Amino acid sequence: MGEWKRVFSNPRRLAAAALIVLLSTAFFLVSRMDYFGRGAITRLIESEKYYSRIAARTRGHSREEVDRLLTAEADCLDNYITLLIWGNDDFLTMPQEEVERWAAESALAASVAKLDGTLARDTLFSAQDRVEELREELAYIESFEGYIDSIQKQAALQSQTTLFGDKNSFANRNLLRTAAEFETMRGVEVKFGSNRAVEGWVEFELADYLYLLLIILFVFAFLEERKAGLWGVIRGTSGGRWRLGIHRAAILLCVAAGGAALLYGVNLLASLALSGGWGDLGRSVQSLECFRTLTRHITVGEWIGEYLLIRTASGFMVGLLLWCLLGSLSSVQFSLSVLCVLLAGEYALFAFLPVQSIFNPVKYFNLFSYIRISKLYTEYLNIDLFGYPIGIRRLALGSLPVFTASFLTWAVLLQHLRRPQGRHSLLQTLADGWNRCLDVFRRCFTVGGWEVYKAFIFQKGLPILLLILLAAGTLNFIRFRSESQPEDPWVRAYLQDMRGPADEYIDSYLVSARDKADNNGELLAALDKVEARVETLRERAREGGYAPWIVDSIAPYDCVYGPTSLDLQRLNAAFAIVFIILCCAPVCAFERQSGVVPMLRSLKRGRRGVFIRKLLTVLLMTFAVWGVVYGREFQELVRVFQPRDMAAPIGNFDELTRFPFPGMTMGQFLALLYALRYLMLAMLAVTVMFISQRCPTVELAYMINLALLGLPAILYALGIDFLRFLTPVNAVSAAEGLWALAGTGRFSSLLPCAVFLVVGIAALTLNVWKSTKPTH
Amino acid sequence: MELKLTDLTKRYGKLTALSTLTVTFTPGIYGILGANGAGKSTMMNLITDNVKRDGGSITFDGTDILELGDKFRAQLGYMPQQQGVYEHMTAESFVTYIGRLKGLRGKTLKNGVNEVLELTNLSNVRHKKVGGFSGGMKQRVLLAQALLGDPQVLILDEPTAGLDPRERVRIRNFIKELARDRIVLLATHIVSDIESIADEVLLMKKGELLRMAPPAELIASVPDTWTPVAYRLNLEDVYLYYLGE
Repeated sequence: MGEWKRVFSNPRRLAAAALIVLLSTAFFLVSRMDYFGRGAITRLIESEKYYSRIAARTRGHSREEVDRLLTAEADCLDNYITLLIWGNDDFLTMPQEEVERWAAESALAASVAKLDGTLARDTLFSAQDRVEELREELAYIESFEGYIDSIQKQAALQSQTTLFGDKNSFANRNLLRTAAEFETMRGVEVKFGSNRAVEGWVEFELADYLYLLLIILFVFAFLEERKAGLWGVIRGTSGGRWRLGIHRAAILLCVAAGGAALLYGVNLLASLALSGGWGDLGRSVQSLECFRTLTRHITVGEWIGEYLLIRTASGFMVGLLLWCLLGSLSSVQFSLSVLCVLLAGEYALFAFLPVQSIFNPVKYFNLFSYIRISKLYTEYLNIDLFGYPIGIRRLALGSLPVFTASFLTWAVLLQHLRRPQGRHSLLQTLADGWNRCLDVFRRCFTVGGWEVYKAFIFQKGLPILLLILLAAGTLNFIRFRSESQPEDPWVRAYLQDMRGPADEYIDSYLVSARDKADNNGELLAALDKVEARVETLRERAREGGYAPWIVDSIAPYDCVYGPTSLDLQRLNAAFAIVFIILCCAPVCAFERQSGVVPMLRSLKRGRRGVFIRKLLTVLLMTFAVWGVVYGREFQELVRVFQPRDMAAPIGNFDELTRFPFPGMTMGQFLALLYALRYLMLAMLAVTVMFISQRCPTVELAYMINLALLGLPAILYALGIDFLRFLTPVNAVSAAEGLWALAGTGRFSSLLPCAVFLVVGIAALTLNVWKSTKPTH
Repeated sequence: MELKLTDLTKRYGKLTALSTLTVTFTPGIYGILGANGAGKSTMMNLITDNVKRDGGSITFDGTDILELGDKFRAQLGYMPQQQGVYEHMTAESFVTYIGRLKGLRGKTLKNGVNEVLELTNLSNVRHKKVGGFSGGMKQRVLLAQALLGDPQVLILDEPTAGLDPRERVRIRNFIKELARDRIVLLATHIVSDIESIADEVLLMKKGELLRMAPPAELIASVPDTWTPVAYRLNLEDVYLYYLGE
């Protein structure tokens, strides 16, 4: 029992495991949100309640009745939202009571009364999405039988062609097999019901990767004696060989089962509690659209049970495999590198190898097939195995017991037979050769080169940046907005046509447009408005001393940088803060952990010289994070809106007329915004470095930085408003302040940036590393 | 060349680690003996400016080392007691990195690295990671970095701890060679090392310098009534006579 106690009583390991579970649940809830910011959690709960109420109301009704009910609900919501938006510009800032009173007094009062309960104003948009989801689900239910028919028809048709006609070919066998398997689905009763809870749970990928992380965490617990230099001692004890191996395998099984229950079970319960659907677990699994291609007769509830069992078994198998591979290497550090390479290689094959590739067995016969288990159920694919079609699910799950038994035997034998000393490992020889090559390369490094190398390689900056790159791919930068006023389409068309400097060309254009209008009252009225608009712009430009410019709508910029996307900007800034912490926290703590600080400080360039280069390294990493997060934001702006007003002086945009430098172009304004963001991220990085210098271990540096800077940032971005003064989110986001400055002309809008600038400069000044004076 | 400590004082809270220590070092080997907590490492940390002094001064050729800053550190080779190394680096990388921080470059760096690795008998493992080294090998890596760059002041805190006898003797002889035109401060618990190479021995107790004299003179100062530890009086007897409780 000693091993069980050692593994399960280590507070750091338990804290890390608890953090993984918490992260899983937190990110799962975040994945269900349509909106981030103040009231986000309430809005999530309200919209999910609404969904479950509507879904419950449809229970027991025929498809036609459900269709009528959903259409009525959607119309009602559409009308309500339309009236709110078109009827009053300021509805977004109106108090709730006023909105309800106003809606009740309006012509929509009857429609509002039809709504299921009183919905909070902010949940209306989410409610609209929920109704749309239910309508899509209904459409799927109605199309299911047709889908089965279409597969049969397609098979019959294709088998006539020469490509699929050869009865000894894989193509023909695959066609027949697919048709036969889907034929068994005929007659399966797909029912309309509440799918959101289970579908959201199945589609939440992050849980799979966190589960893998949990398994790795405990596999590394089995290698701890090697790191502590106790391997020989443990092996020398009576129970230190095969018996220990069996205990460890049992521990791994418990971790796999417990992890599955906690990571997946908690999310499932939370999902069902939020969205409802307990009563719909008895439906056939094909009732959920994500299981359209699953050719098994099984209910949703049974599938969940089976999935959790398979999840446990696959987690156990993956854990055993990693234990075997890492246990075969003597050096724990080396085994970590091998693990990174292995996982990266397997993931690359799993994610990027095309399905049609002849190497597709390695895509599906892959470690990540056992990590992303749900894909085996949601994707139907037969791969070519010696000319015969074999289903990927059947193949992967059929080989699971064989792999598990093999790896279990290997692991126990390894524990029993592997000697700590005197082995000449091929991998070690290869590693030595690799180090020899690297040494030739590293001889050329300057001190700066060394600092960059340490940060990116030793402190795992490079893999962290790659992960950040992947994570940043999931960030959303645009919150689309509806125009607050319906604009005359002719006015809009004229303005679009005239876009550019409001010079003499515009005057001649207007004269020509009047001629062409040919007494058309509608066109002439529009031209009056356009002329008035041009005159206003010119007047404003004269006062501000800049060139008048006819600009397109502010909407593209507002959707990315303005108040419309405030929640997204804050969330992205919070993620940028976390990314900076992940990259920069080890930079100084690594030296303290290695115990080299006194030695470095005794060297000629070991103080200011090292510090300045560390600072430059941190700024380089900051640049990478800035590029990954905000570079993508700009890319999205260009990709989605193709803005063409970058050369327009900013004073021409109605919402930004009070900017202290109205002659600055929109491009320069955005450049200023991005520069300010970089500056704020740099100040954050310096602050992280300041904290890191005071931490004796890298682990502690991560924990303290995440607790002080990362967690408050995420919580604030998710709507816990009182944290706004305790987190630099608004400073890093910068857009809020700059936009407000342009709207109000008050420099106080940039106060968060100014405060954080002072904090960063103080952190830079108070650092202990560069000091040439005695410090301790 | 002269390194002078005048009234050097260091306190950690109420504990006085070093009390008005005054001593002058000129080229030669100075063995520092004292029990744990006697102030040996504190003195070394003060000379390397890793610890803030509470009083007194340290001058190198008449100028305070704090004023000299980088210039003094360019003359310094320091081997700390703790085996702090970058475990991910190979022996060659580690020594090369330290060489860069000492301001060495080009052939001077390359030749220097080869020389110190040869000297510390690490040439055959130069491409292996330091993290996989035994305690003795790590000790040699630290010694190698301290010797790199031809330092004028060499501060060695337990340089031969963990080394096998053959290595110890080799390193000891090399230090003896070095000390002709350098100041070498050597703190160790291996009394025989000091006895065989030190020109002068500093006996320290509770932060104070008890005596400073050549080994032979110290041995001679032990009274005849003292029963030798071995068959004849040696520095261990001095240690026990002066420092033993």
